[in-house]
Amino acid sequence: MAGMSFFIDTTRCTACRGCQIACKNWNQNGASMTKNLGSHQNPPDLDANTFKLVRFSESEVNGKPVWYFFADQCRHCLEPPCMDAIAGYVDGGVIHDEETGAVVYTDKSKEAPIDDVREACPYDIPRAREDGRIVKCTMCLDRVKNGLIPACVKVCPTQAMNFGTRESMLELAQKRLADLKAKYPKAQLLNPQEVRVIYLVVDDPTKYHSHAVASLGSGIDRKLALRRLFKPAKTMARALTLG
Amino acid sequence: MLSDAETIMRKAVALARSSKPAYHELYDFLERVFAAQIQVKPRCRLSLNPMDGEAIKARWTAGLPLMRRWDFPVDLKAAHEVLEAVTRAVPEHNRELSGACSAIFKALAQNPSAKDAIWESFLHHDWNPWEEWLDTAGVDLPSLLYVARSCLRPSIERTAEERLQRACPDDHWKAGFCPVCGSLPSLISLEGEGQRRAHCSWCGTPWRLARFQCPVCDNRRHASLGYLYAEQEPGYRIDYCMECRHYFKTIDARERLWPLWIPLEEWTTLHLDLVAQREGWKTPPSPAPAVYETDGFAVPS
Repeated sequence: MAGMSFFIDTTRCTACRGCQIACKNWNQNGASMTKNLGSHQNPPDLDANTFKLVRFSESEVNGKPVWYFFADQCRHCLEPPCMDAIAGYVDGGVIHDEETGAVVYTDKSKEAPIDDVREACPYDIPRAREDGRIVKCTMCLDRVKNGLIPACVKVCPTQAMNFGTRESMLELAQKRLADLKAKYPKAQLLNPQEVRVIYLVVDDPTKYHSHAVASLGSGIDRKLALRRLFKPAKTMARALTLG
Repeated sequence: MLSDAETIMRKAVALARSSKPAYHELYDFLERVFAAQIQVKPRCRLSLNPMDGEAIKARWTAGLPLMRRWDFPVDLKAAHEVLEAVTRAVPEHNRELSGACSAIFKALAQNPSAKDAIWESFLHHDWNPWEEWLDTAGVDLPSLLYVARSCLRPSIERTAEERLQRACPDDHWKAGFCPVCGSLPSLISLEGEGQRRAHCSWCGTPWRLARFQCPVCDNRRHASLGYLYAEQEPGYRIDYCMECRHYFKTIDARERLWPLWIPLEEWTTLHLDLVAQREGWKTPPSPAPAVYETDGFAVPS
């Protein structure tokens, strides 16, 4: 499985939020309504105008306060469950780009209910616009296809964000993990064999974000599995009707 | 199996095909020429006067390049191989390039004892010594120079690389012209944490420039240095100097996913030249004869 991947080294992240703003800027997403929840995290969650969000989590290690920063975004799963969820309602709602592996929603995604799609995502990423169109990180496919790195990677001043061929990113991630393991025994890569956005964390991933790793309750549920199972029959019935 | 250079070149061409369709007529031709140059370069056999690291550094410290353009050795066989590849690659309808190839072939065939002299004549600039052997009637001069220099490029680049194996210019060279041959850059790139690197228009040598530095007049005053930038084309800009009114094209390699292939970029940035020249900026002659005169070199007149 070639294609491209991100490697996000959370130990290098200073929570400057440059990536969050660069993402908004490149995708021409406007400001989001926000509120103060007693954290520096702003806005409080991903939304239709925020495809990338630096999450701030305050924790305690050996009696000392620590901040964990987590630049949350679509993981561009190797086998994206959201694709099945949308395909259960509409054809052509999702493009899984062969060359890069990017998972990109099209305008047709508005025909799928956001609740089902969001439920299918193990990382709780997709959000819907007012017109119903489902949106999320696109891997800056328009930039990548033109030989440019994604906007969030371009602005990162600490090399927390990295992007390249899957092989090179996995190599970089493993090397960095090996470097950190001695000092941080809990250091780990999150779902590296399942996703194209590989995070490196040095503590329990849930301390960074509740959906940092694939959540057990999400993914393909019974409802989706049934829809997937009956989809060929539905398609055939539609073809017969048209015929 | 493709070499690293050829892999990078082919990736760059493939990307340019999709991202810069306006130049679509160039790609087949350029890809074949670049491939021939890359394949020929490691086989070049060149007789180069030895120069140790200390001698090189001494010249750089004195602000002098290592060689004159017309002192570069040429591997005749390599040049001929590229000429054959260029001839095969020329599109059928391009009479200028095919005329240039034929003229060189004809001159080489008619003057077998002067093959060295014919190829070496293209190492000179500002005068046309090849006219002694080449019938240039009806031949497009820019096409002739392009074909000839494409054939010489593997020998020239190989020579520069061999010179630089003994010393690195980064800590010793501050000028805007090439530390190896004295030519001006064809392109400038921004890399890493913003380092500015020039790429020689003649021998391909990369060297560091200051962030504020005009390669022509060495102006380093920020108030009289500027750049043109188009939002539609991120990663490219035109650096200009208000003192000497010259410009250079700059590529921001920090935005690039894949390594640059400078000889391709020289072609696929031609529209930037049009923009710059329409704004009144100009390209400098390269190299400035002053570069060689300061060394007491005999400059052809």
